[in-house]
Amino acid sequence: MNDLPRWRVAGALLLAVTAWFGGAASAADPLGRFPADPQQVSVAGISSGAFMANQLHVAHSSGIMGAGIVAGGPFGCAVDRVTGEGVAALASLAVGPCMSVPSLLKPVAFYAQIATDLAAKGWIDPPGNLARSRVYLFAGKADKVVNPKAVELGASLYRTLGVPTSQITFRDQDLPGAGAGHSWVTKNFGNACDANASPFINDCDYDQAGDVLQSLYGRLEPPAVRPEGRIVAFDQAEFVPRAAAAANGLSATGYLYVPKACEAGATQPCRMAVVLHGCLQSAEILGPEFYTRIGVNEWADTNRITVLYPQAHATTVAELSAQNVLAPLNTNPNGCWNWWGYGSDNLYLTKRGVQIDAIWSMVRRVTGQGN
Amino acid sequence: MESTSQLFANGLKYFSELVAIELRNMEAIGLAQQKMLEGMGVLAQRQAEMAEGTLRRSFGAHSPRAEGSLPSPASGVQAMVIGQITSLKTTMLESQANSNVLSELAARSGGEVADILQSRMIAALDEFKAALEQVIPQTSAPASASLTVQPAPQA
Repeated sequence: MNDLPRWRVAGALLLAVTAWFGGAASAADPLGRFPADPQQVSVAGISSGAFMANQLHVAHSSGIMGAGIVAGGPFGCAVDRVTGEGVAALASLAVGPCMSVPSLLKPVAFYAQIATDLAAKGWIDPPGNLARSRVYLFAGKADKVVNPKAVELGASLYRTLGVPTSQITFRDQDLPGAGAGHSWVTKNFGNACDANASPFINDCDYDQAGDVLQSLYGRLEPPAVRPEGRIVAFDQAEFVPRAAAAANGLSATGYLYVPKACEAGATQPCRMAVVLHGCLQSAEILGPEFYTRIGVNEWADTNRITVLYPQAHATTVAELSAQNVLAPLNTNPNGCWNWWGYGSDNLYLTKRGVQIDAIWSMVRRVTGQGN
Repeated sequence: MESTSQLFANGLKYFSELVAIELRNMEAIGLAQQKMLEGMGVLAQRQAEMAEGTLRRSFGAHSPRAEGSLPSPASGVQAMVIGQITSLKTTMLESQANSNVLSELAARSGGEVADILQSRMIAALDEFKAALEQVIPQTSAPASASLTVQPAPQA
C-alpha cells in the first residue's frame, strides 16, 4: 500500500521525461549541409507552388538551371504596377485574370516589362540568364482552378525573356479521358485524373515527376521501386527575419529528402531539386502525402538528387505582425505560397521577398554556400 | 518670482509641444490626402482601362471579321446562340473580376488612409500624454511636497 504513491511519482516522472525527450525529438533540427552541386539546382511546383517556382527561377536565374511549372501562370501575374518600394499586387488579380478569367490577362509584354523593371532595380537577376534554362510547363485540360491559358502565357513569357523554344517542354494533352484536373499528376496514386479536389494529386497514368526531372536534367536512370533514402525534418524559422515564420506564411518545419548516395561524405556531389506544394497541400494539411507520394523521391533515389520540400503555412490575422486596417487583406488562409503579396511583402516576387529569400537561403545551406 | 518664471517657461514649452503635435497631425492629414488622391487616380485609371478593354473585346467578339468567317448555314442558329451564351458568360465573369479589382484597390487605398490617420492619432495621444507628464510633475510637485512634508499640527 505504501508503495503506491511512490509508483505514482515514478510514473509521473517517467511521463514527464518521455514528454520532454519526445518533444525535443519532434522539434526540427537545423538544416544541414549535404554534398550538392550549386550549378545543378532546379525548382518545380504545382499551383501556388508553380507560381513560386517561377518567381524563384526568374529572381535567381543566375543560380537556378531550370523550372518545372505545373498549373502556374506568368511571372508577376498578380502585379498591378511597379512602385518605388516594390510592386502593388492584388489578390483579386490573382483569383481573377491569373486563375479563372484569362481573357483579362495582359499582353505578354506587360509581364516582361515587370521583369525588366525589377531587374533594373537589382531586385531580380538579369533575365538574360534565363536563356540557359530549361523549362517544363503543364496545363491540365480539365483544370478548373488555374485556366490553361494562364500557363500558356507563362510559356510565352519565358520565350519573350529569351528561353529558346527548344528548351521549353509544354505538356497539355495525351492524358486519358478529359485530361488532368488541377493536380500534380502521377502514374498510380491519387484522385481520378480529371478531379479538381484535395489532395490535388491525380492518378493519370503519367509520371509527371519523371517528365519534369528529365526535361530539366536530361535523360535519367529509371526510378526506384521503393525509395531508400531518408526524410529529414528541419527548422524553417531560422531562415525568416525575427524567426516570424507564421506571419510570413512559412511553416515551422520543412522537409528534405536525402538519397543514400547523397548523404554527407558522398564522393560525388548530387543535384538538388526544390519541389513546392500548392495551396491546401502543405504537411500541416496533408501530412507527408505531398513529399512522399508524388513520385519525385523515386527518381531522386536512382539519380542522385537531393530534394528540398519547403512548407507554407496558413496565416491568420492574429499571426500577422501588423494588426492594422489592412490586416485582413494580408492573410493566407489556404497555406499558399506568396504570389500576390500577402503579409505586406511588396517584394514577394524578388530576391528580397521573405519567402524567396528563405528558400534560397535553405538551398545555399544545403549546397554549402551559406551559413 | 522664480516659480512664476518657471511656470511661464513650462507653459511655453507645453504650448510649443502642442504646436509640434498639431504640425505632425497636419503632416499626417496631408499624407493621407495624398494617398487618397493617388488611390483615386489609380482607381480612375483602372476603371478607364477596364471600360476600354470591355469595348475592345465586345467589338472583337461580335465582329464576324474578328472570328475569321461567318457561321455556316449548317451550324446556323444553334451555333449563334451557343456563341452568344458563351460571350455573355465571359462578360459576366469579366465584370465580376473587374469589380473585385476595383473593390480591392478602393479597400487598400482607404485602408492605407485610415491606417495613416489612426497611427498618427495614437501617436498624438502618446505625445500629448508625454507633454503633460513633463509639465504636471514640475508644477504639482511642490504642492504635493508641501502636503506631505509639512508637519501636522500637534495640538
